Amino acid sequence: MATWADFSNAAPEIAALGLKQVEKFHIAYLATVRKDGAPRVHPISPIIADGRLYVATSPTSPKRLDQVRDGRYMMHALPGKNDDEFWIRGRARRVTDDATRAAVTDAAEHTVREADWIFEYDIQEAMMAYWRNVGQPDTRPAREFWRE
Amino acid sequence: MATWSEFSAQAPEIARLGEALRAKFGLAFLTTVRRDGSPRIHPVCPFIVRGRLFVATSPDSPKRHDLRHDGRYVIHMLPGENDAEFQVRGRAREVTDDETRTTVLAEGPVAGVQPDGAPLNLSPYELLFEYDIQEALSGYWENVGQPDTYPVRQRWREDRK
Repeated sequence: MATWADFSNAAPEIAALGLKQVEKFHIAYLATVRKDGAPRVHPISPIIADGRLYVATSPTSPKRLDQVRDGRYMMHALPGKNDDEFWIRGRARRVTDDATRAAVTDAAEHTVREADWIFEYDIQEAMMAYWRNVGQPDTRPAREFWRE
Repeated sequence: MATWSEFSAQAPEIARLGEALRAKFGLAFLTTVRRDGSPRIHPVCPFIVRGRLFVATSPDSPKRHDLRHDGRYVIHMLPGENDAEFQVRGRAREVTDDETRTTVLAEGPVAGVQPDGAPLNLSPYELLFEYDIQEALSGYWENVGQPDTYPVRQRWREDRK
């Protein structure tokens, strides 16, 4: 699994689009799988600190337990101009050490509470797409994939 | 499982927020589970025809395999003002009978504009799934961006018989 910085070095163009979408909206959608095997999706605020990707999750959010049980996730940015798309897929891990918590809290543009659970998102696969001829009969995506 | 109109009759306030967000953006996020048990999320354009909720899916979209294998889904609308949120959860079923497909594709959203300016309807090659609803959640946040921000949530769940 790659950190955000590893991924970003390996696929700078894809990472740049992702970063742009995240910085524009401060929100992305995180999909996890519940204990009963059904999907779950929530809006989250990604945080990049020291080249790593994190999310601070409320201690009452049901998705924190999904991720402890099965770290597989997919995260999708909000669509940009021309329905630009960006997603990543990989595994989330809870981090509890004080130094990381402090770095994440400092880097976040929103308030990270002491009780929040912090997860790091390692990246296995990423995709970006630009749509050509949006709203036309021959609309089609130009996609670029990166895979570890 | 409830259709959109059954859900909407039972929980009109929640449904109104959902419909407002759907109509505002046209886009929402659909989450499914892949056959290997990992999650998938994609933007989709949900629409309502005759009180039922549908998404037209490209015939080569990988989510068709997910939904045929396990119809459980969550659709989450894009956030509105004050981070207004809406999601529905339930089961998706592929619609395969020609009569329903023809009606829904014809009455569904206009997908774009043709070169001569005429509206472009959904392609007859699209796969069609109907999304039955088991549970819906709406919410918005008070004091957005402040340390004491908190959500105001409403939930509807189909009566378990």
